[in-house]
Amino acid sequence: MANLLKAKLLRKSYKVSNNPFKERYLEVLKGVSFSINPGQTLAIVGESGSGKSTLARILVGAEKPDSGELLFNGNDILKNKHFAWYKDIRMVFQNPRTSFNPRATIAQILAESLLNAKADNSMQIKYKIAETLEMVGLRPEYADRYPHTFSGGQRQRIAIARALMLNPKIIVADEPVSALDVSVQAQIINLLLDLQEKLQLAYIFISHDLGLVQHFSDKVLVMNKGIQEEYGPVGQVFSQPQSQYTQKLLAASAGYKRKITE
Amino acid sequence: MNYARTNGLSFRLKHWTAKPSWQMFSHNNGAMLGATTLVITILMAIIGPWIAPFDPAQQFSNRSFQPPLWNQGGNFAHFLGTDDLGRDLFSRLLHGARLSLMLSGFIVLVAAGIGVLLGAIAAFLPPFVRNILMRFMDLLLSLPSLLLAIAVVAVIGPGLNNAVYAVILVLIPQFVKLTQSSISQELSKDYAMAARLDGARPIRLLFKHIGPNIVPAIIIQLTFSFSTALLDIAALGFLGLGAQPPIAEWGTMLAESRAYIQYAPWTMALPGLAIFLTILSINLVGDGLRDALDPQINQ
Repeated sequence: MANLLKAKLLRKSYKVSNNPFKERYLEVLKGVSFSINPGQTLAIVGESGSGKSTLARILVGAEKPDSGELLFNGNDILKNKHFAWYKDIRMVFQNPRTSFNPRATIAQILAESLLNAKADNSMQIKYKIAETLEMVGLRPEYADRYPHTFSGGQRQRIAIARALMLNPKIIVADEPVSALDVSVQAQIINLLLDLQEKLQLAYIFISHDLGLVQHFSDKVLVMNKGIQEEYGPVGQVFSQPQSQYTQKLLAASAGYKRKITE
Repeated sequence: MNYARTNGLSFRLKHWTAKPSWQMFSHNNGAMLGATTLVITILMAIIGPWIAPFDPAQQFSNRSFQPPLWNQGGNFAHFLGTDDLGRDLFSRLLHGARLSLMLSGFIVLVAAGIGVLLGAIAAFLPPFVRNILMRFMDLLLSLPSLLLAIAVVAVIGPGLNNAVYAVILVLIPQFVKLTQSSISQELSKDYAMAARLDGARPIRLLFKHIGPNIVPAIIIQLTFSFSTALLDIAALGFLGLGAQPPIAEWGTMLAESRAYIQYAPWTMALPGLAIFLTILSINLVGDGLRDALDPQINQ
């Protein structure tokens, strides 16, 4: 069976010098491959600067990789010549404070993708907004308010609602809970799990929190400086880490945990 | 209004708020004071020719240097006094208001229109072309605005029209820089990327998402530029490069009367006061508008 999304050897580098005679490039991704099926969660872990966020931006179509393939239901979606809009792969941003236009109401923010898709009339869009807000545990009356009137957790619910508007198959979440209170983190994670069960969503979940990853995901991809260190089922990677880097990462996380329990 | 009911709810979808909140504005005392002064000034400028007691250029050779009403020797006929040639100051101020306000308004609108358009284009240009344009704007900005205006007028010749062109040219770079930098700044924010991922095309991204967020900055720049335009036109008039003497214009009036400041201070104080009050009220209104346009403050 073909995978829902399959990435093959994605590579990306950025130009770091403006000198035309001495071009220097920084390789951010050095060949990353993975696959994901409906209802599954893939966690991407690694230290800061390991290329996780770049990978996320490539997956949602904000940037193009230099080489590699991205197969969605068996079709290479990178082959589209023009600006490709990935309606089936949507993103939840890390910081709910900066990811909303401060001058748009929640209804306008949520309607944006539907208006651009031109599939529904405004009645249907409003109905869809109300429905989606209820699905993420918010009251539909909130739709006429501005983002800054909500708490961080509520805003992250709105961000999830925005990602859900086009009925996507995959949601890429770039550290969706790291900017939230610990008590709210659990609520958001539970919401994501409920939605996954209900809608058979696949998640690509970028996180620092290894404890959370262990609890939440099916597969894990460990990255270090753009290199794919390890990739496999969560249980296997966490119990028998093959690469040194993964071992170090796990040890660091364990040490941190011991410190707070003492 | 795009209000429609869905399951007993109503909310706006397409009607984006660029409207200032009147409630916020009316609670801002400074802004209200400025708005009142400005409205009175504009009204005076509009109805000026009808309420002016005398022709602004009419000279009463036997009535020169009559002091205003509150000074000793003032009379009701010329209640703000007369100047060196016996022209009624109140009539001249009214006619001057018309010219000064209209010119400054025209200058600012044209400069802002050109500047914002150039800035918006620059924000989407390839970096190399953008840098050339921006360095050229920096070059224009590096000269003091009045000096540049004087240089331009010196090249194209003195006169009110040329002074207007010069001041427009001087004001454009500020708008270009401001627009370009605000757009680049907003484009780098998460919400701009979110809008792009929501399928918004560049035009929609620019006008619907980024536009409302840079409007406040442009409004503030507009009010500052308006006062700069008023001052520069007045200063060019003062230097004899703008409005030529028989025309009643605030800066020219200031210039004409500078020789008599010790003997007849009101001839200089009154046009100066008019310029000062107008600029102050415009700046106050601009401040109030900025706050009233921000949904984060006004809810």
